[in-house]
Amino acid sequence: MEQNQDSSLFGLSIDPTSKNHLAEAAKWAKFLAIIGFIMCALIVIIGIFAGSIFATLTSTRYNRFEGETDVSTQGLETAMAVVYILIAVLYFFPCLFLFQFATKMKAALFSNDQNTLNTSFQNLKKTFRYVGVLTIIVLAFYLILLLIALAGSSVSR
Amino acid sequence: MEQDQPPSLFELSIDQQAATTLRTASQWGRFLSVLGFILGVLILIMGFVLYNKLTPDYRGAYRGSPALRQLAIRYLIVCILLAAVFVTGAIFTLNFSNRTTTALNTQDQRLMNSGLAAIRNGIILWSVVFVIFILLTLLLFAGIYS
Repeated sequence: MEQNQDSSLFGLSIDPTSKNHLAEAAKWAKFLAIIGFIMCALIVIIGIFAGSIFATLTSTRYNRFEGETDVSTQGLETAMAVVYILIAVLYFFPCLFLFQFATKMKAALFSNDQNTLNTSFQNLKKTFRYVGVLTIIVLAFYLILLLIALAGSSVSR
Repeated sequence: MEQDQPPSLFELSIDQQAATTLRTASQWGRFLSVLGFILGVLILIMGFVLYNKLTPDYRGAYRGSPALRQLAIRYLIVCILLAAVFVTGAIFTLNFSNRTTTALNTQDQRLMNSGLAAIRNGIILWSVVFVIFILLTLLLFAGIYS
């Protein structure tokens, strides 16, 4: 076990104060991860029923165009369902990493296991890295959309 | 100072592997916090711009109507709250990143504890925000289907 490796007598330790902080962080992280899983499920459900939700909204607002709305919104309903399910999949992974951080941290603090503590910190790092990379991708996507919109507006002039 | 208390041989420690992991986590945390600050400021700007567009500058059919003014005020409040959440979250994440990195460099136990407290506060903040968000979403759906 790594428990006794690399820990110099005057190095940083997980003292009672840090143990308290980490235990509380783990408790809330588990809660946040479970909320995240519930939200993923809700997003998938919304994605699956996006068609009927959209139909409800359009039928109440545009019922004067009877018949036409069904045809014009069909493609949009499918696209919405795909986008929602994709968002749920992307959102699932940080929740999973956060959940693993929480469970491993609780186990590490309970059993004083250095390996489990390190794995827990690795999951925290994975959560941050995943969210960071995802944000970069989303920003790049928005930048491309902005450039396309600017190019489109300059061509139409 | 807590820094001078030597840890027991059998207690958990921040060993080389944990230190490297925490350093990388801090780097990503700093990046996320900077994004959080930018997003908070952008939301605030967007809120004020739309508030101004919907109130005196608005030239549409509903110009000057109290309903439109109420809508603009509600929109501005939501934007201010969202910006406050993002900025507070970013402050916690930045505190975690800065304190953890400094603690690892200086081997300061008190700073390390403070960094861990910051990450705990950040997680609590997002938990509360997400609970509120879920409740509002459920209320919205109840409204649509009622």
